[in-house]
Amino acid sequence: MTRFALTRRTMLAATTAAALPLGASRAQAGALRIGAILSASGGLASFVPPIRAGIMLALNEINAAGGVLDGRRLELVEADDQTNPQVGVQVATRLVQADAVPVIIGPMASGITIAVANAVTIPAGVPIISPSATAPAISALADNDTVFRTAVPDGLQGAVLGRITRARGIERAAVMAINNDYGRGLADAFSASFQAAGGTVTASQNFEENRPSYRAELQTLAGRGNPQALVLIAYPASGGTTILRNAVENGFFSRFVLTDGMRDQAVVQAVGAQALRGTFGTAPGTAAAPEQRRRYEEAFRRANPTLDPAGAFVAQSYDAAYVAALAIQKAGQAEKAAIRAALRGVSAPPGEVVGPGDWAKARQILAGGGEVNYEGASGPIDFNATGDARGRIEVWDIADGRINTVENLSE
Amino acid sequence: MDAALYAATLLTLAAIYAAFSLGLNLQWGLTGLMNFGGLAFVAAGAYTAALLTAAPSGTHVGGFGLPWWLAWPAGALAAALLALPVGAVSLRVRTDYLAIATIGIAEIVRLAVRNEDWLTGGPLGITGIPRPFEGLGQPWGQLAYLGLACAAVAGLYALAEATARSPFGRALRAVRDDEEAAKAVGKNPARLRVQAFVLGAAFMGLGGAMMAAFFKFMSPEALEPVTVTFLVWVMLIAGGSGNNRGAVLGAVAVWAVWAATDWLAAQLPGELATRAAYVRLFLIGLALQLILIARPQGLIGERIGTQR
Repeated sequence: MTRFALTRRTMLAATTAAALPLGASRAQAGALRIGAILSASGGLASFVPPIRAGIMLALNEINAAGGVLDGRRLELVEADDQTNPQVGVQVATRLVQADAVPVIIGPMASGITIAVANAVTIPAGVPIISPSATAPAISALADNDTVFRTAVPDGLQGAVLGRITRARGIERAAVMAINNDYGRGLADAFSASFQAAGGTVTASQNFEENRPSYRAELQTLAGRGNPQALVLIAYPASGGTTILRNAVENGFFSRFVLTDGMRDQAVVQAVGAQALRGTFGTAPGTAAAPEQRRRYEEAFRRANPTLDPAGAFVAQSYDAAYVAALAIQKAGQAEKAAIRAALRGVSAPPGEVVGPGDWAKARQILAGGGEVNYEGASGPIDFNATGDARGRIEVWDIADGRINTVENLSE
Repeated sequence: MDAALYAATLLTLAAIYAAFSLGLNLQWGLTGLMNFGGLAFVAAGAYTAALLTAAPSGTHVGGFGLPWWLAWPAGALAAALLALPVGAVSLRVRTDYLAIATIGIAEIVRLAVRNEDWLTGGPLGITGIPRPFEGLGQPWGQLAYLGLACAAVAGLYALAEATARSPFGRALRAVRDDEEAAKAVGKNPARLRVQAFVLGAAFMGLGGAMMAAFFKFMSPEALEPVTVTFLVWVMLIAGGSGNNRGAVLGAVAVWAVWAATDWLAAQLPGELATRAAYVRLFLIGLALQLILIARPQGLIGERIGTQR
């Protein structure tokens, strides 16, 4: 009897002793799930691998440096919207209502972002941070302050592009833009700014994707008003490279002005460095403080040797994940309204400047009740009143067959 | 509660697709019309209803701020009006030509929507479409909208059933199964086909109106042949063409499978989840093949005569 009691007591003590640290470690290890809606299949699928790598890099850095709150790991719950708004709404509902994530990174496309926000996340009050939706319409959503983006709206890039094109001595330009919200928005902003600077848009054409040839469109553009350059707003794989080839082979144009969609070394390889001499363009947000940027690029290359840290919207994705984590840390809980309220504060002054890879420092400051100001890999972020990142625009050109950053302009 | 809301969203989307598949069942299941242009009629209904209910805007025509109960029937009517000339021209000849004509009209409508900015807002789409009952707040507004969508589908189902059982419905089946025999007893096959085609298109138009209101946003990206036209075919064939209950069941079942595979894919770790996206598409195709081989009549086949 005594022996039994002893054994039982020992057992109890042993169990308690075992359970205590176990319980504590489980509280720490209990992963905190945040959502991501990416277009892993469908028209934007080719952009996704580096973008996912950007998000995962941020989460892995944060988890390696102690995680969020009381040491919880961040875990990504990913959904694929198939580059389609109906599917986007369905998977967003799953993330919000079945997985109960407190914050979502994405969606990628502007149209899907608007649909998802209207149908799901605004009514539910869940903040979303799109790394790549650039349509101006997103700023105008009645969103109760739940829609954010680390991407810079197209209006700003177009304005800068118009200005520098004129400043580089081009007076007459023809515009060819992909026929979607990205191409249209950017073309309009460019035309307004170019004309305000004294330039003339000789002709403008929206093109449909994935045609075998664009000679007819190019011939029309080249034949009207004697343009000095072609402003091409496109993506390489869905027509951009073909257009450049057609234009060069047939001698329609010899000078090109490009945007972020075409800022791709593969374009130079496909079309030829000689033919693209003198080509320049703009891109949003590859213009953080150089040391922040370098730390991000080095870490990215170490983790993903085969992917490009300067790819379209990759740095923005990294930053979206980072500000989401900072907001959770600042809010002190993984609750949607608290995160939403904290997002602006952690991205903008006042506060101590933290950047890529500074998680341990940022967490310490926030845990001590201080303020941080995240300066990201893609730019200063600084979410404004409509949830848009304050942008800087990079001006780049092609010289000796390589894409070089010339300068960084702010608004 | 959250899981219930998730189910409500899935069921609402399933109800919208049920409207499409009931329309297709009238055309294909009952009359044998090969319509590969469902997208065109969905677009007509969706954009008509969207323009009528949205707030005034400078980026597209109107924004007339009308209530949904006026706009939804108008959406159905617009789809019917679009179907009338298409059907009248192409149905006089063999029904195969309808397949070609509908693919053409769907492409025309898709590109028109994308390019006629003054009318549709072009690629920027139409924002600020009100959703019925959204004023009730988060849980109840969504459940009320589900109720409305289900009521609309129930109405369409009743109408489709009544059509199928009526002498008109029997005449449609006769045209489908043996055109010469139908002619011999004095029926006019071309006329019957046009009537069935227009009625089915109106169903799709109403479904489109429900879709625009549910998303509160309409843009050309929402009009993709794969998800609007061909997924509906999968639903109808899986459920059982010729049977209205099969059409509804197919829509619900395919959405359920779709959502379940989405959820399963999300449980996989990162890299695998990406590949799962493509595996899902493959599985949907495989499922259709298996159904066609193992159960060509679908889950519930057509039942003639003893309709119950």
